[in-house]
Amino acid sequence: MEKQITRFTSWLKKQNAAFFFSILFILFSLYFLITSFDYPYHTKFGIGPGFFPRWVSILAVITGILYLISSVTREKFSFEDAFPGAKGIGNVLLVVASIVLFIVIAPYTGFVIAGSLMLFSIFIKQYTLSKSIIYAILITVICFLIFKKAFSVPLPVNAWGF
Amino acid sequence: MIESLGSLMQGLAVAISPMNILYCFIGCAVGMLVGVLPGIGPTEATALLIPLTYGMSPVSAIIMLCGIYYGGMYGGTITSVLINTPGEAASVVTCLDGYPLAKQGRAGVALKVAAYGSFVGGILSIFGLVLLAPPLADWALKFGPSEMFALLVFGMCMVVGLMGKSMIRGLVSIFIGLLLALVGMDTVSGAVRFTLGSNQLVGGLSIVTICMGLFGLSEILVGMENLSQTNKVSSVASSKLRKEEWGPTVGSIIRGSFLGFFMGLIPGTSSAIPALISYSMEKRLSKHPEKFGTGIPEGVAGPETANNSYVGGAMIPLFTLGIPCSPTIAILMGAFMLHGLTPGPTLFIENPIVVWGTIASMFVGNIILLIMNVPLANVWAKVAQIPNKMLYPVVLIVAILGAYTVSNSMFEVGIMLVCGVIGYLLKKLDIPMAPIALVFVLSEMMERSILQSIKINKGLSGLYNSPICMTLLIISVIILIVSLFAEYSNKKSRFLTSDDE
Repeated sequence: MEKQITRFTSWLKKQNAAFFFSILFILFSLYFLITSFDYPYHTKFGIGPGFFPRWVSILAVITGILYLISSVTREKFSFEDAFPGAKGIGNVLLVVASIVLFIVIAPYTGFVIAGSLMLFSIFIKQYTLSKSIIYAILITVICFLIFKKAFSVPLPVNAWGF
Repeated sequence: MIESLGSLMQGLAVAISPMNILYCFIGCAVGMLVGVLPGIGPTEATALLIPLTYGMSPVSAIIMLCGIYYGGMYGGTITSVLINTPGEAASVVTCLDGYPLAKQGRAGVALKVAAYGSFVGGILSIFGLVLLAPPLADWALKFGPSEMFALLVFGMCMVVGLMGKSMIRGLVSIFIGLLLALVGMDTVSGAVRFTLGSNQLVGGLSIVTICMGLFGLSEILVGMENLSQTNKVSSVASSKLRKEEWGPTVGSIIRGSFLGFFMGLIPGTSSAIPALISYSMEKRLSKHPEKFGTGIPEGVAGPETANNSYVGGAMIPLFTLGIPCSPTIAILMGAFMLHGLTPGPTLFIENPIVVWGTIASMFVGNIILLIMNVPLANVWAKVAQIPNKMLYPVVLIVAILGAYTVSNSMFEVGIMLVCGVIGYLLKKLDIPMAPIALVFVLSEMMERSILQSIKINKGLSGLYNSPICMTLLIISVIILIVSLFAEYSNKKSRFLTSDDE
């Protein structure tokens, strides 16, 4: 299994990132193009809500195809050149995962606990355990007080009001 | 002219009310702060503070948000000079001579020259705004839907032509913006489109959330890749400008003012571009070009003046045509709309207090910034020393709060996350993001104008029967052809994109 992952990673590093992105962009545009047919092109009052999306998505698909061609001829970006090493990507994924965690748990635990956990998961790689806990709680509580109390933003709270 | 000055005086009365001075001060201070801090710029800060302005009067809200924009220009200078790290893209050029001056123990000279240049550039460009905006707005009132559509096409072509290094990547960015703007209720027919069945998307995507993700979160993700950065600060040793330096410095300030102002009028530019052009222009005009890069005051004065002067110029298309020239202005346009104002020629007639109050507040703001700049430079430099491993998580939680406050829902935080990941990928693939924000806010106007034009003229004849339309469309085609030709012959100027603005 480990061997297969290593092989996949080394294969991916050499691949053209712009090529993959152009495919994604074409699919994204195609979704809009196909869905635009659900809306009438003409109505009895004149041009309908399908007109503008259809033309925009047709032009977007054409642009996507041109980008695809250019990605394999002129504008090659290998994953290795475009993206950082494993450590850098690890840090990025950690931030993304911590935000997902925050979104999922905040409605149940309240802002302070969810925010503190999110920051703690980022700080723990940079600071000692005690410092990570103190910084995470302190920053979250300050933000909570500013936004909840000073600006009256209805932040999600738990049964204890935080 | 006299009428404009009279209106400006009325605006000044609004701008110097104690509450508006306070909001202006807050905006300028936040602007300075984000200008000083690498990793967060005026675009993210403006997006972040918009939800907090809901309870304010429109004029106070716009005054504060504008303060962030031009405050950021001042702030970026300090870190460029003292720690050789530009706080925002417009101050990149300032490092070239500002930091060498600091190493010579003349950081005070660099900061003073930059501050006074910024002040002069800012004030002159506001005068330009006062003089040019009303007649341009009157002229724009004659625009029908066909002309408006042609103008928007022209604006988009300028964006594609000037931004980034590759036209195809610019077009990809434009279409991402156009497609995202299609989500939600169509304001012309009332049809709900591309919502994937989600009720939360009926109102469409918010420009604030999109910008927070594309510019703010993506910057945090890039910053998190490498957190081991430390900055060394030079001290602000007090020093006076030498006698022989006065002439070239004053000359570069005057030239920078005009250059920045006129560059601001062009859609698709960024404040980094006039700064860059000013530096190369000063070098060419100088009697001793070899000294550029070794620490001379005019190398700091010209670019710093130009990037501040740009702000006044960039406000003109927003106030008169309702067209944003940069991502920060696009967010400001979003703020106008959230407060029930429609940027464009009618703004001068329907809401003169907001327009003239905002313009007058820029005078006040420039004075506040001048006072905050040089005497407090050491304090701001200390702020810039906050380590990235502390700065980015703090910015992250504030950005999350900002996105949440857009509609007080976690859904917006999710949208910000998606946009942040997309922004991160776009950055890695060198696809400019500024066009997404610019086009996103223009898309609705574009759709409405083309539909109205077709309805009125019973076809597309409105586009080729109007001389204004034809001229704008022909220029648009020329821009695209020239840009494409320049790209293929590798002669295109490598302008900085305004993504980092």
